[in-house]
Amino acid sequence: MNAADRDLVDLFDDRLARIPVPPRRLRPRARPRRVRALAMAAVIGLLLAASATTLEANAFAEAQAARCVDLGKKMKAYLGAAQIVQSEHPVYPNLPPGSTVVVTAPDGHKESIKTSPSGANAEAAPGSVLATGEPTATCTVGDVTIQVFDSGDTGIWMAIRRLMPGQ
Amino acid sequence: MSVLDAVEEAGAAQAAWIGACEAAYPKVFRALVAMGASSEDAADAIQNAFERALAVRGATTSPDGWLFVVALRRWRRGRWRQRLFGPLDLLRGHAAAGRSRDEELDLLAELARLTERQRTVLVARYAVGLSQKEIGELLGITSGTVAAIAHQATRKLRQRLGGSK
Repeated sequence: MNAADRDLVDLFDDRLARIPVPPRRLRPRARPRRVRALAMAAVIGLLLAASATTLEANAFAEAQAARCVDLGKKMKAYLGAAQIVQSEHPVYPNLPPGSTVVVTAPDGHKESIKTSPSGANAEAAPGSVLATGEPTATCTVGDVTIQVFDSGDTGIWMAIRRLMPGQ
Repeated sequence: MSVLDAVEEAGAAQAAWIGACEAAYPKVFRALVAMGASSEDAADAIQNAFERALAVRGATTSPDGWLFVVALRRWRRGRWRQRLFGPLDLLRGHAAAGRSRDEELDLLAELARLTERQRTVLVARYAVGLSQKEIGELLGITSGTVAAIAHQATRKLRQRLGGSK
């Protein structure tokens, strides 16, 4: 070992020698409290996550129902005396541009409306059915049933503008 | 050599091995603290290494180096606990060993500023007293790499410690 190394050895010896060395432990430290606390924290975290998911699902369902009611309120302007009832079915919240909403009147008459690519509402010819396949959601407000079909793009919520025949 | 002689010889060899590890304990403890372990974690890691030493019937490398590397690995594996409970310990006012004395802070603080590899090589060399070849064998790197790491690390350490004096 050269002189420069000796210098560092002495430095290490001098500094580290002041660190007190406890007697050699014969057994590892028991950590039951910390382990238990950690396990407890994990369980509580899982319970909270589960309840948060439930709460979130409930909030989502409520938001969906509220949107349906909101849609129903808009429809009321066209339905006149139609009663608005709380929907039991959620309505797809964010309809993409190009999505189609079909409204079915009690007599079976259907009205449909499709969102434009920019998200503005568009009118479809009365009686035309632009939707195909199974609806992603169905909402009943009063005596009107709304079915939502998803085109698969991203977009915004749309409003029903024309709902009942003869208006 | 009879079976009994062989067993007696193996027992004596292991006793000598354990004895050598016991003698290395203070040096290795301080080396772990220099690496950044708290007093309690260093003691735990060395205790675990001793349990392993009982299963090893004498290693080919030096007991100091063997104990240091095994304890270091144990400590590193347990460091997640340190990360998790470190803030709690700070709130409770627990200080790591060697941090309370101003003069030790110089060396330990400067060691902490090095990379983990540089710190390991320097501590193994100057605190545990291993040769470059021994360090290379224990860490699984060539002695040339050990020399290069040691050179860079000592240069940094000298610059920083020299500037603080």
